[in-house]
Amino acid sequence: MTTKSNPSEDLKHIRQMMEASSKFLSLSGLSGIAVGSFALAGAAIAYFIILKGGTVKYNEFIQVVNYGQNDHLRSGMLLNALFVLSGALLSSWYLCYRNSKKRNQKFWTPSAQKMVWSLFSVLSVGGAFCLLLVYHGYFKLVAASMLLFYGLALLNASKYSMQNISALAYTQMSLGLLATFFHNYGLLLWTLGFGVVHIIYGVAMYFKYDRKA
Amino acid sequence: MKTIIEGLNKNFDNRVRLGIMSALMVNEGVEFNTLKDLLGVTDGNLASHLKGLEKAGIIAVHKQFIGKKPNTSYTLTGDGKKQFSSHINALEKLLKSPDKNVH
Repeated sequence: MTTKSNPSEDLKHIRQMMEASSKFLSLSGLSGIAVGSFALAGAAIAYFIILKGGTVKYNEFIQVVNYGQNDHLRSGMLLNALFVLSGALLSSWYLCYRNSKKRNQKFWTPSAQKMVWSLFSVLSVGGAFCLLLVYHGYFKLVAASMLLFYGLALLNASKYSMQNISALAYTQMSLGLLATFFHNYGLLLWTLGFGVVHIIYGVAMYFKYDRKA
Repeated sequence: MKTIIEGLNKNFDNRVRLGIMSALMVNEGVEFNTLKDLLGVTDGNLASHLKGLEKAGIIAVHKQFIGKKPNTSYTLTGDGKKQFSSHINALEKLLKSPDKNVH
């Protein structure tokens, strides 16, 4: 009996197939950059337009206290949040989809489904928790909770995707803890985590993976 | 010659079969179409390799209906797992052996 196979090629093939069959690898660095940009835009809109550069003061029910009746703080913040969320979701979805097409990989694979599920199960609990904080007037903890739950969601999802996502997860969670301690700097740390960190991570991923493909 | 290929399992002497085994090692159960997309092979080719592995008692076939669509998925048998692990060990041993260039 002779065997045509080359053991080192075989082992490489086995390793590749194990990874490709169990992990979602079509993540694009560009989607990190897009998500970060939406977060930065959202934070800028919140601070400079809705809060008028920090001059607008509001109470525990997010109602303006120093500008009289004609405020649109709540609806403005809500619209802004929806803008950031939908922009981030759509752009990252599209960029990952395009990336998978470019690399000739299937997009909506069982591992992609598992990854999305493991991400969004934790994120929805976090989202509900943040809305409940708002309901009870604990605004100062919202930014911290978003960072913490987002980090936990990423950590949960990282087992179905690239391992280095866990580094992003721990960064977000550390910022979340910082924001819990320095709760007056919530918006700043939120912007740092969801904006700047995403962009840095996205650029690093882009040069590490996307450019090679 | 004989010592070099000792431990290698002829059930896994082909890329498609290696791919099937690798996917089944790290997933609880994989559907036919997922395997097809992953390996980029034709239905017929994949089916014949799956049949061979099934006959050797390495994989188990699970047929069920999801709604009205028939759905076939595959898992490794306990014996199949053992056989593939020792195949990988044999490959690794080959790599470490001094005359690894002998085929």
